[in-house]
Amino acid sequence: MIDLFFKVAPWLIIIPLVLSLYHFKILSEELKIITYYLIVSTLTQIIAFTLWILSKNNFPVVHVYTLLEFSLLTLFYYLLMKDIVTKKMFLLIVAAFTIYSVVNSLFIQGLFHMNTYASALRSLLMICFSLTFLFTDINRDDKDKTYFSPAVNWINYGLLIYFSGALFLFSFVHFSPTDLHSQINIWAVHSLLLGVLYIFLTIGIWKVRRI
Amino acid sequence: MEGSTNLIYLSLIFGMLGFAILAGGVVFFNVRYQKNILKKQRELHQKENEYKLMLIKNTIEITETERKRIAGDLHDEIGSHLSTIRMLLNNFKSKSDNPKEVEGLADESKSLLDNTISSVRTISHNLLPPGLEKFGLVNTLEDLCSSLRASASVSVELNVQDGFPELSKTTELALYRIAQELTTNSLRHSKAIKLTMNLNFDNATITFSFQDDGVGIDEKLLSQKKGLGLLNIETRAIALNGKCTFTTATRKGFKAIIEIPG
Repeated sequence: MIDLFFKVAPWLIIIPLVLSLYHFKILSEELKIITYYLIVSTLTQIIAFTLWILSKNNFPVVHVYTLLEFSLLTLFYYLLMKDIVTKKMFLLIVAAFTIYSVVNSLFIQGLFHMNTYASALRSLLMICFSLTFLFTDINRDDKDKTYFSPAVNWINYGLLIYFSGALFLFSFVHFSPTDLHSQINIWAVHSLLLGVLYIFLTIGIWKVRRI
Repeated sequence: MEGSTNLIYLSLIFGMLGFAILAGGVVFFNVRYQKNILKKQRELHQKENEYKLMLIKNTIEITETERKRIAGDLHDEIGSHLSTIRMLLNNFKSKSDNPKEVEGLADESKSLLDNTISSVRTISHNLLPPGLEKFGLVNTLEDLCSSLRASASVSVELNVQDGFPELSKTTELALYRIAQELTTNSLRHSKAIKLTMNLNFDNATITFSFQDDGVGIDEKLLSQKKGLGLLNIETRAIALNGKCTFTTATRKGFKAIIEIPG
């Protein structure tokens, strides 16, 4: 059962992807970034899954994905908080993370191992962006809120919940037991969190349709 | 060793779930907080709408009361005088052979006509103070002060800032009506012995303030703005895009400040 869940949950991404592609024309700039993020995630999963089927190491794909995911989601939060984050700050954060991630992939953890350091840092930064948006949004006047606010809020909630769990996972996963049973259970919880994220993304994009 | 591995394994699973649940809690409280804010904003909007509706109702009420008063004055005074004059004119025909009686009828008619003219003047004065059009707000307020000093045993003071500008007739009439309402209130209810009115201005605002040294108004009555014409004053001020503030305390007098854009 857990094994099945572990395999199926990540593919829930198809639902928000199809929805967002269907409504792509009417989406706001920041929601279009989420669509790009969903496209990149789906493609990464397909490539990683194919490599796994072919019994080849798929970690290099994950390394590239971590960078792309971070850049896209940071762009998403930058567009949401343009009034408090400057373009310079945004570029600086992306550049710093890229350098750290590349150095980690090439010299620290290696390209053919799980990039837990970069993933943990990515999760931490995402939590910071998400909470900053959450608290600036509280103080925003109702009139300043956009047509897309309900959608963006749901997406932000999903990202906050997923990255909170992911931060703990990537920070401590190298201490975990290496037997297959434990690994499947640990990554099944990760899949559960991914499933929650995709449900929140689906609700968010569904809200756009309902507006 | 196996026990310690199990502990790490369980800690990892529950840690992940715990962090996610914690974030879920933050989301939950955020949603509740936002809902509460939204509810409060809706209540505020509702109160604002109710207040606007009350002002509109009050404006209609003021107009209707004014119309009723004019109709009453025309019917009771002008109408009855003119009917009597008509009756007297009818008597002219029958008494035309008696010059003495004709003379009596003529005198009576003349006196009634004088009364009618005086009534017309009073009614028209109530509708629009005669000096306001010709001499402006300051002179008309000075006239109002003079008539108050003459008719009531109060000291009335009017202070006007040098160079006070001429305002639009609508604004001047509204300020005059406000002054009338405030002075009438003070004379009727406050037992004041001194009334002070000030007219000031700066680049952006015209300020009319009124103060008496009477018994003041009950705070509850003031907050309801009912029964003392305070709502009428507020309606007039808002109609001019202005605002008014009332301050009072029992036995410490009453003060009104009306500010309108200059």
